[in-house]
Amino acid sequence: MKNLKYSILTLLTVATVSSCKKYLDVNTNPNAPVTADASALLPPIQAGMARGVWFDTRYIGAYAQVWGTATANNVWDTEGYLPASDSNGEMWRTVYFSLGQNVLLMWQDAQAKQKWDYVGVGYAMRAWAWQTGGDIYDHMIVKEAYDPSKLTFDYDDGSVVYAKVVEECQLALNYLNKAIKTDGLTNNPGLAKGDYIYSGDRTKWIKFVYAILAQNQIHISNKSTFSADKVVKYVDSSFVSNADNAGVQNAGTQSGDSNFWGATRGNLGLFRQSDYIVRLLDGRIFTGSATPDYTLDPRIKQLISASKDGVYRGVVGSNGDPNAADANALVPWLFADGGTTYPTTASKTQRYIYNDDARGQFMTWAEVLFFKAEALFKKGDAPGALAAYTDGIKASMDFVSNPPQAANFTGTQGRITTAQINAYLAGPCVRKTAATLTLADIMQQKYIALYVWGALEAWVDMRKYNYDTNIFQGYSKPAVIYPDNGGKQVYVVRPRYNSEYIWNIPALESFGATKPDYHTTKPWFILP
Amino acid sequence: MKKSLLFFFLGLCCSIVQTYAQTKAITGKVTSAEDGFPLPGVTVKVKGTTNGTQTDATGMYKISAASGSVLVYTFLGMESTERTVGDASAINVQLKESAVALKEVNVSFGVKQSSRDLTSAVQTIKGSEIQSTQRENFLNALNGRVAGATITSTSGNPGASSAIVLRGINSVGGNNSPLFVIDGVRVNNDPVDQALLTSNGANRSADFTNRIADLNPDDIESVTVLKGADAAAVYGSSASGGAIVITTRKGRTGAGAITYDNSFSFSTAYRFPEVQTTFGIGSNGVPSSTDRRAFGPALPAGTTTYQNLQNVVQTGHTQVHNIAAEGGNDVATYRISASMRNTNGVLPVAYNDKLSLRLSGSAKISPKFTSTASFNYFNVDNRKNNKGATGTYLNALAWPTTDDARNYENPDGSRRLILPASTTNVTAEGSVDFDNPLWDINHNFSRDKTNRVVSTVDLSYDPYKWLNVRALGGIDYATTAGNNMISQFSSSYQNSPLSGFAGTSGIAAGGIIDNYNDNNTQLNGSVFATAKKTFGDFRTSLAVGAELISNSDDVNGFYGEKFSQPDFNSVNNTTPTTQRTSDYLKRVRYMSGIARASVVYKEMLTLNATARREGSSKLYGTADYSYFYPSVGANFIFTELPGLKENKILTYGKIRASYAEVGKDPAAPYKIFSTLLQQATTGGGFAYDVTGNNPALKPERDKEFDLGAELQFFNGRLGADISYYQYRATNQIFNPRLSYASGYILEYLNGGEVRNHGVEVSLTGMPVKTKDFTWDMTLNFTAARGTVQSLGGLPEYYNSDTWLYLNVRSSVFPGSSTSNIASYSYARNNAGQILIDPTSGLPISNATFVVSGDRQPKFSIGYGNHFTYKGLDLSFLLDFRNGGDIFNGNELFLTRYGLSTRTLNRMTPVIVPGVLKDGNENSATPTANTIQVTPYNQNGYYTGAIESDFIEHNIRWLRMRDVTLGYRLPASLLGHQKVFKAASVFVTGTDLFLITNYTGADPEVNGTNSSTYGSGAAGFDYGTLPTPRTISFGVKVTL
Repeated sequence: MKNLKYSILTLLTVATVSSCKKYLDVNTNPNAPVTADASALLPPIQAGMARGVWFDTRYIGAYAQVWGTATANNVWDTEGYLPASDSNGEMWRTVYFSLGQNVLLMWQDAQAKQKWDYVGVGYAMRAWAWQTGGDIYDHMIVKEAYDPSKLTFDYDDGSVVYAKVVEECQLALNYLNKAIKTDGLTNNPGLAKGDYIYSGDRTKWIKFVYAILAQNQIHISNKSTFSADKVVKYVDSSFVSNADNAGVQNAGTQSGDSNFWGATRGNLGLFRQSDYIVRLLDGRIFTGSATPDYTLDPRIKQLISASKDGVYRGVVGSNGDPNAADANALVPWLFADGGTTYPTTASKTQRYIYNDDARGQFMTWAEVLFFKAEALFKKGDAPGALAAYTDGIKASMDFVSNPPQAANFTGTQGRITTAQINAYLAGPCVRKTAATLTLADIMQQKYIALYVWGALEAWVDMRKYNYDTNIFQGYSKPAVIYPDNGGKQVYVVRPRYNSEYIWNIPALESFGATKPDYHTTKPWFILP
Repeated sequence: MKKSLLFFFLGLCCSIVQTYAQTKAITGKVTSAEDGFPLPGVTVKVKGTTNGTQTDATGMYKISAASGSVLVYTFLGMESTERTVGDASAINVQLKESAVALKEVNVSFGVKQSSRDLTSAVQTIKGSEIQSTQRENFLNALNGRVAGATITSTSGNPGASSAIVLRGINSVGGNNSPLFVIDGVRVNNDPVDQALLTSNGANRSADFTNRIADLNPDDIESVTVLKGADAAAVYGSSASGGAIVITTRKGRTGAGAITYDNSFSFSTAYRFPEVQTTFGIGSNGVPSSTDRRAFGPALPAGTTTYQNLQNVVQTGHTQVHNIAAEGGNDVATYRISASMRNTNGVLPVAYNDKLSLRLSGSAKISPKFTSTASFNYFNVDNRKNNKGATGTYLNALAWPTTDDARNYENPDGSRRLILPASTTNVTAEGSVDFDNPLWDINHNFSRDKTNRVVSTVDLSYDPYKWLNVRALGGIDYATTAGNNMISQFSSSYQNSPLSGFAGTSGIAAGGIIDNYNDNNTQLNGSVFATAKKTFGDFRTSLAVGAELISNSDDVNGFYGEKFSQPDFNSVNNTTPTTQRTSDYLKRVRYMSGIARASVVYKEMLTLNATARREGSSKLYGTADYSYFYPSVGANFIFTELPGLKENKILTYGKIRASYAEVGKDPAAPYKIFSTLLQQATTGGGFAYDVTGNNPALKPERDKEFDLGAELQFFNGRLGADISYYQYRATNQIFNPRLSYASGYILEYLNGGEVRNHGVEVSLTGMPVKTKDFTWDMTLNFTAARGTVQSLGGLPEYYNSDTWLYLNVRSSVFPGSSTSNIASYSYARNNAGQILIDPTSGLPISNATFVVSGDRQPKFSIGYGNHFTYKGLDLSFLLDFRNGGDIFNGNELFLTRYGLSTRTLNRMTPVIVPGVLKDGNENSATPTANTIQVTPYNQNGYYTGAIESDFIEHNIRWLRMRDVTLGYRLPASLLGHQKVFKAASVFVTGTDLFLITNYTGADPEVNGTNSSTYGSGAAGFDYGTLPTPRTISFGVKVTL
């Protein structure tokens, strides 16, 4: 009897202990999911990539003099920065927040279900983010990133960021190839479900990874370790047409899913095209003529806008628009030909990439061809450089003529005729012989090809050549330089204020990022 | 044991036999002096003998005693009384409640414990004291009555929530509210969190009653406050901020009785922010038709001006009716009570109607088995004013002084505008056409209706004399239906889910409905087996038990904009494409095992120990979801020492020490795995929310050391209870902003440490005690310091809800006080001189949050006095506070709006002392500012006012918390009728006066509401109606 009593008691105790766990298992959030299918996680990550680039492009475009502000001495036009502000910190958010834990969660699902292409795409996007982030910020948090036990995070210098790009590119290639090997598909509907960059085309992702590797290598062209051959090899494995361009789809149904450069977003109210881009397109730089000729480059009507009086004007450095009060002569809003007010009507029939549903571009075919041209030129292979340079111009013309919209990788608008393109190639702006080809030709044609969406890359080039006006012949050092610079030019962007300058200060101090002129420090990648 | 009992009874019989022969029989009735009720169980003894008896259920006793011998009447909690046996054979005795009684207190799970055996700080307040204040929210009646308690009423509106914190802020990011227990059963005190509505508000614009305020004060027998972590050792992590243990009134044995009391109150607002009436509307000295700020030209002489806030407030009326019936015998007792309270506020339209029905009963089913149960139903209907930025109070303050705010409608009934009608969402301060306060109250709705049932069951079984098994169970179920409507003609704004939760005005949205239903269920039950045995000089007890808690709170929100029919208050009236819904279900469970042991040696030395293993669902998913913590305490009643035992001066002396640890889980569930948020970008899908959760979360670990002394002099005429405590709360769970490198923008983390220490002194004294006149008093002294030792390497942690207005917020820094105020301040050069903008001549803001104030007072004192003279009864409580800083947000608003009296000298040119920020500011020769500014022409002088100037330091107050004069009608007056057994009348005043150096209306307000975690926004005075002055009178009769 006593034994029975004790055994019941023991049973009860055991039952209680095991049911304790069950009883307390109510901490799964019923209000929001904590996991999701990889295909549901990928679209916002890709949208976040676009957001990071172009929110910051607003400011970096001013550094690179792609555009300026109508009022004089704008803080960005003077190569300064806004203290105590998150402005120009968006790429930081993209790397760590938009991609960050979301990619890790996507991998969880993809690894478990052996969706190797999602794993590969994750690495490709991360490699792109480290590359883009590293070029903007130089120092980044790589080794300690995403550690949930840490409250503060130590920085790594640019060399670590650059090495991380190569490492993750390699992993991306491994997984993408593994995916193809596993099911034999180059285009996977499973990946297409969440992929708004390449709609599931694994081969295009592989090309994109090579494009990132090429970019990673060409950016360190000042270093003794630089290998032009690697650039050529990577470029040759990357994009072969504008249909391979890395760009993300924009639905264009409301502000939240519309193209950054489209009317619905209304992001461009403050920006005025630069005098530099005007002079590149009206031939004054390439021909050396003092008079503009709007018939030379067919891209001029597509890329930039004329004032009401028909003259193309741009903002010089920090000077602002001297004609801002003159409705006939003021520099118009970016895509408002002759317009004196900001165009707000949503439209999908604008020129170039000013449509609400235009694809947001990360890298283009023309861009990688100019990588190759620059690499070969450095190597001393002038004919090779000339060929790549000529191909780059053609690729740029094709892109401007047929800008991609919605789910299409390329457009069919045909805004520039083949005859126009041939005329330009035969005209005075383009070098026809290897002997006459200069680095300035390559870099400035690249500058046009990058126009409006690629300011980050344009700024990389300018910094790499220390704002050399022999290469960037339309660039002029701003008349007014931000006071904290001490006369020096801007070379790096500060990490995001509300992330680092409040919450991670000791780590910033370790490499001098709290100094008032920190933004004039030269980044690792441009150093010899 | 059995043997010794036998001897005890034998001895008892012998003594009775021994004394019987020489005596006569005395009979009599023992009643309570307070209410005349019979007292059963009173021990009546013949002094110096072992001859004794007890009163029966009707208070009657019978004893044999010799003439000339002395009878001693003793009853726990009452003053013992002696009577000499004379010729009379009947001796009726009235016992008074002991002022400084060595009472039994209700500490854990309904188990009463002698206060002698306690080893930590406990304070008990009588229910009658709380009732006499006539306060709607009984928590406010505890203010000044409990040492170590900080109670802040959110506002003076009917149904306002009130926050209580015991012994300071221990969790910078968690809940610091104590646990509430009624008759051994946990009940809910959480107000609705505005963030759970579809509009995801920030707890600023609306207040929601803290649910313990539902309790009818008339049902409270006593409130025992268990301070500090020692309470948690018994009740678990939800009591890490202490516990408030409420014992309700039970039916008494004896003849049945019905009591009825009522109260009629009149409330008036007093103390208003001062508003200038010299200058009219405009900016920079120029009149304007598109700006409402008072920076225009001086008003012509003879212009009629209005004090609009004063004109808008009214006298608030309250009436309360309580009726209770009780009765019972040895076997069963019952009590039924009903309360109806209707409160109208001093701001029009707002009201709070409360109904409470309570039934409690107990029955002895067998000599070994007792059952007690209660059932309480509440119905609360609360119509509210909006508070904060576009709330009624600020609307009244912002109304132009040249215009009578009482004239708020056009002849056709439409809203009378001051500025031209605007359809866009204006946010610049000057261009907001603030609603007229009266129009706002009448056209914008905010109303909560609550139905609640609290039911408790208590079963007690004594299988053996030494063993008790007790089971307690409780259900607390409440539904609240909330209705918020902003008229389509209103400039008031709130968060809208349609615009990414940005603020949207009624006009811009075309009218807003933001409703919710909150279903809150709290179930808890416990079983305890308690063994008590005495071994020689050792009296021991051991209790082992288990507790289960299961809470669920489901808030369904439904939202819509764009009314089809103007001002028709239904979500059905909103445009379908604007309709949004939300659902937030919160489930929390605990499962705990508890053991308590107590050893008392010679009634002199006590050692208590507790162990609790607690499993919390809120940590489920981590390795530490089940955690253990102990407490240990000891006391020494040194007056039991032979030399001190019969000391006439020091009658009772005890020193005590305790150490307790408590593990504390996160304040809310679902903080382990990060949650995904639906995205509106191309392709939709999910991405992580800004706040990351953390699978590595560990329970916060709080450690408290408590040292105390309890002293009583002159037989309890003078008493002191002194406590010193140290609190160390490590592994703080908070969700700071941190580096994005975490992958999130905010993240739940363990980090940092908080230390609190303080002194609490409760003095009780009875300077005069004669037959007709008594005077007793109590004094509660509190001095506490809370410091944030570290934030785990982070520089700052803030609660964004407290970022109410401009750049002032409740945030903590390493080394700062736990109730720190941070704000922007003046930018300065390296030498500390103020930097001046060389173009405007105005000072520059540092644009950084720095330590600007500390809301923690240096000390506070609650001083209560109680006089009785025959049937007259006068008591009052004064509250004195010294130190602590207040953010005068109203004054900052009025300054930026040109209405503050500090803007009156605007015609006088000034040169702001400082140096120009011209590049030389940090050189050896900075340029001194010589730029002259005439604020009249350059109102940037006021609109750019620096926030830190509006934090008022070292605030002192003396406040008449409450005063009550009562008169009990003498028996002679009641003698000839049979209806009333007893009757009394009273008049009570609450918050009659406030003397303070604070320049605003009242420093005791809360900028958010009591649901805000951490230190909240107590001491943030912005757009909140202060507590009005109230005078109540009423009668109380016993049938």
